[in-house]
Amino acid sequence: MMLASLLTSAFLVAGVCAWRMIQGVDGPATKMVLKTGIYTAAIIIPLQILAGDLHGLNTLEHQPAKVAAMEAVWETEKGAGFTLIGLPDEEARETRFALKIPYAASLILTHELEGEVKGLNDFEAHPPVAPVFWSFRVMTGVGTLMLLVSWWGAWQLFRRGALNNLALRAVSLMTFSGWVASVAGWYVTEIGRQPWIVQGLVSTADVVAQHPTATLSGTLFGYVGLYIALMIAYMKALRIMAVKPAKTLEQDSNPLGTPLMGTSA
Amino acid sequence: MELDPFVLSRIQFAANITFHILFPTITIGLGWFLLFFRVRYTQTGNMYWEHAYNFWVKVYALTFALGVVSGITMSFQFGTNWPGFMERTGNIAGPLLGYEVLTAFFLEASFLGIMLFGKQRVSNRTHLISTFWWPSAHPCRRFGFSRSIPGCTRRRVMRSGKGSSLPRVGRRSFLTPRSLIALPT
Repeated sequence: MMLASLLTSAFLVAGVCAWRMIQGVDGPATKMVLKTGIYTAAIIIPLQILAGDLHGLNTLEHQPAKVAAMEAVWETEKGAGFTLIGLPDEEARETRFALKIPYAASLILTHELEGEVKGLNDFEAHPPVAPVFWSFRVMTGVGTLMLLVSWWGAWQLFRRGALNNLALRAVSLMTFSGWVASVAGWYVTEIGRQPWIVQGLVSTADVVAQHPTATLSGTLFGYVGLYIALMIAYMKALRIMAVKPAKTLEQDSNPLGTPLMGTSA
Repeated sequence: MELDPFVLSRIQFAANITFHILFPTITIGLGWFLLFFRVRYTQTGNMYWEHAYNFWVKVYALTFALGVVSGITMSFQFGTNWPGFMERTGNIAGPLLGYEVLTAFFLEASFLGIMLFGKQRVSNRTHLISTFWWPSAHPCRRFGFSRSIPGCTRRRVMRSGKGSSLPRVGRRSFLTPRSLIALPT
């Protein structure tokens, strides 16, 4: 989570700076911050991938049904293939139009080509497959994009000290990529935990309060409406801050801001 | 899918945590960026680092405010929609939630106050320390570094189910800090 947060904020920082440069409201500080953001992202992303791998091993040990749903493995098999893309069909108990890389799932999960992956059919209860399957693919897909964009950006910064227009656009498009990846990852975790709220002991359906449907629909409606309004307000506020042209040193309006090291630069 | 209370409660909780988590994912990481800008300014005296700090601290405050607002309703739902959860896991989740709130008030609130409002009132050193404490205390409460951290641990206990199988006498479970740390992620 720590790594994911650093990554999310690195892309936010770099993305907003890139956007400001495209809009022409940037100052010298913008370039410095952009550099900080891109280099941070480029360093953190491989660590995040490594942490994700370790996390996967751990999940396989404690919540194998979640992993089986992530990979849409229906039958227990050795040397299971990794489904790149496909349509998991829970009723037919198969993945339609599956595009598979042979042995890859076993290799990723057990770090052995012939490692055994327990299939969904061998669990008494397992989470809904399609949401977990797709969330996992969104997460890893966005993660791969982050890797490409941040390394591309870092390479340009390293070689030329600045980003070209295309890279600026790519980085600014990735501003909220961390949100997408984090939320998708969280869906994998929390939907993958179902039907249990405490693994193997307490099921989620056991602990819910039996409120009337009308009450619950009302509060749900209220919540969602409020969230949409808050999100619009947040984005507007962020935009107002970002479109303000950067201050130059002469305009520095910080009334008590005396330079600490004795230089007024 | 039928819209029974179970499904509706799940959709509501999902909407709530989805909206909430957006903001902490930014603040936890952005805190370190703010610290970096402050440290660079102190080291080099380059006012542009100060500009960077001044710009991003506003984004930070805005994001944090939304995180707090959306987080409060999240805890409420443990009571309003999932009362059985606390009944079953209260022995473990209760103290952890308590610790979470305690650190939130004592550590986070104090240092955030100094960071946001104390820049002109305290020395640069105190402000730097507060800026450092802030990103360290914030994930401490939530997800962060060591394994004994509440948000994470509670979820860990929830996920692995080990917490409830710990030896107990009556309603007291022998959940020691050590056994919490040993729980899997």
